[in-house]
Amino acid sequence: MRVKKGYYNNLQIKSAKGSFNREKNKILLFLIPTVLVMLLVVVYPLIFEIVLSFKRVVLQNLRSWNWPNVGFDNYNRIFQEPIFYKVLGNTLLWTVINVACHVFFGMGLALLLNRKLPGKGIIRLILILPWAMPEYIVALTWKGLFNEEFGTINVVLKAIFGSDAMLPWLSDPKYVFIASIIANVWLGIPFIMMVCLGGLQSIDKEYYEAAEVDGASNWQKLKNITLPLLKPVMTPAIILGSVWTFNKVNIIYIMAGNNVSDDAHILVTYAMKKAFNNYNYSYSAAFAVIIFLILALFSSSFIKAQKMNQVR
Amino acid sequence: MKTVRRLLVFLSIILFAMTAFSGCKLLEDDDKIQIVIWEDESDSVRAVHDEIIEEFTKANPDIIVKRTHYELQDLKSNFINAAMAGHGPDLVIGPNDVVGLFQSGDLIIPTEELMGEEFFSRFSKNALDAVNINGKQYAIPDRNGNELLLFYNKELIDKPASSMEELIEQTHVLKEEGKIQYSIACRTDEPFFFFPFQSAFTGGKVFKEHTIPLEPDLDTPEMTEFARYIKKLHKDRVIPRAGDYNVAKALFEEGKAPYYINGPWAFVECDNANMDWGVTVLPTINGNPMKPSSAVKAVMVSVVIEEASEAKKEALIKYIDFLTSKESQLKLSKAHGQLPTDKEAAEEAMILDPIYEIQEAQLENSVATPPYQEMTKTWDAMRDAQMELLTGKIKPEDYGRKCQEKAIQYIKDLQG
Repeated sequence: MRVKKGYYNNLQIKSAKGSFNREKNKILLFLIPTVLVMLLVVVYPLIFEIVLSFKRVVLQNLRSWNWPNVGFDNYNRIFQEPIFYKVLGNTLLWTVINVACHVFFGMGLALLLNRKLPGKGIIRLILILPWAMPEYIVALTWKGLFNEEFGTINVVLKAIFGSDAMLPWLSDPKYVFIASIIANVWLGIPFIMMVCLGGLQSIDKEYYEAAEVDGASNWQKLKNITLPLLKPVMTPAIILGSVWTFNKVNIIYIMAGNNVSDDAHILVTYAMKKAFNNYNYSYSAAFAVIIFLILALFSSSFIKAQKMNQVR
Repeated sequence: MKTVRRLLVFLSIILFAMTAFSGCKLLEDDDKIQIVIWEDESDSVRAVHDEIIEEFTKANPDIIVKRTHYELQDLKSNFINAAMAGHGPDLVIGPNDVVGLFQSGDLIIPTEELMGEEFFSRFSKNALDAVNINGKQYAIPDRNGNELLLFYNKELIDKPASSMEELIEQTHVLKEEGKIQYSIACRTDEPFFFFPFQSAFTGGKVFKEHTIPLEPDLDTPEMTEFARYIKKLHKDRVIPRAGDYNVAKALFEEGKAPYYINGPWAFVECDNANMDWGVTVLPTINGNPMKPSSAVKAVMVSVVIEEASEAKKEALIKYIDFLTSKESQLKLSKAHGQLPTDKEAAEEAMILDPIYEIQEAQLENSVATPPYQEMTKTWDAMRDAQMELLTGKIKPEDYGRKCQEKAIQYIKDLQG
């Protein structure tokens, strides 16, 4: 049979295209359930919350579903209240201190574990334990430790410095904040440590050998080899860590319970209080939208800045 | 490898099936009517509720009663969420200030609609008034009191003090001897426990008179005097530096404080601690009585019942009647220690145990908690201000103003 020039080529191309389309359909088919779940669990609640923030929804009219539109009233109210700026400041302080401590201690421990150490496996296991424990249990345990009358920390302080050294860990908002930071730092170190350790182990040893030959000091090796090569690994970890910490409800909520003054709140716990203690759902929704926008801005700015640094 | 893969697939299917079918009831339960109750009771009271449920279901085999426990804050938010969605319990048992909160959201129904007017004739009037909002009985009270009393450790105190001045002097000697740490163990994180001290200065006034909705009236010279007094007690270690319920309980049970302010629910706890304890009415301050806030605990009927079948409503009427009967109230009273609201049960209880006479005496000198939602928010406001006062964040002179500002803000939040 005589065939046209390029017939077999066209056949191959058509066959390849057909196989590619089938492959694409298969991929889409596998993605559909995930997309559906994301739509239901993420997109719909987000849109609902944004809509809610422009209405007036309180306990009295909640059941009636008769929710009047109030435009930007909720947002105006939030920005006019001094407490918003106080809790925003608390949140930024909370996030910066926690993430800085997580990175500092996590990286430090990772650098130690990246050497030859006797019993390294067991040490690593012990250091990962906080990550393995449920947050709720951790918060309750720390709450017990910080108990003002019977907690271990105050008992030790009293034994060493006398009863005047006992601190109001769970009643004074300043100390509630500090106690929560301590608990959260303890909780968050293992994640950064493991990410860092993975990154360190992927760095080619030849770089260090070359630096050794050039007479570089340990500090120079850290500054010029380790840190730059860890950046691609640490950047997403820091972004994730910052977002999680910014939105961390459990620790402050459990440590302080209902008894914390507004001064110890961060944005997300304050929004929770407004919704579930004061039953002002639309005000709380507006708060949540503001938190979302802050985090979206932060994440995109951070990634952009990292990309620009890489280009340079 | 193939076998492992097949095994994993098989296990996944089983797991999925278990998850998918976990919500299914047993077929035999389909014929029975189910009543769901949510409550915030203590351990000992829950045990009695279970006995009552067992007795009821034995006599009514076509009815199942399920009880779920929540702490008060969770009870409030979970019930609101559930009722909003048209689900949740049929009955909620909680304190009367929560009645106002639920009523404001139309989450509970007036109980006369279900039980009829005649049903209420056996309850004491002051208990019914405590859950009466705008002329309707939004709950059925099952115990009267919730009032705070003065417990004392008989091993440290021979005769309990009748005034705070006497109490402080009495315990000062014990402190000098190194026998105790504080004079009185009490919670410092809840304004309910400071309210008796407050009432000795303010007479128990919290709201302006004749205002609907209720308007707080807390920015007063009397509140400043109270704040100065409580700050002094705190500074002089008469009351603990900081303490929740468990801390206060531990201080009393371990003998670190000879006096203890708590309610009738603590009777069973003190018995279980094998202490030689006594109870009396709260002392006076400068000749003025310390008046605790009294309340009732009540059974509320969820709005979801409006859509229920006639059979379900009949079952609910039966159960409520059984739960609030004289016999059930007497059983429950032994566990929670408070006076029954059934008139006959209350008379019988007072004859059986002299402790009820002390409660009756304290109740006569108490301030009834209004059931309105504004009261819940005022407690929240006083809690915040109290913490700031005790930690030195605000001065006593600012305490009343702070309470007032926060109460107004929280009430405004409720109204949107």
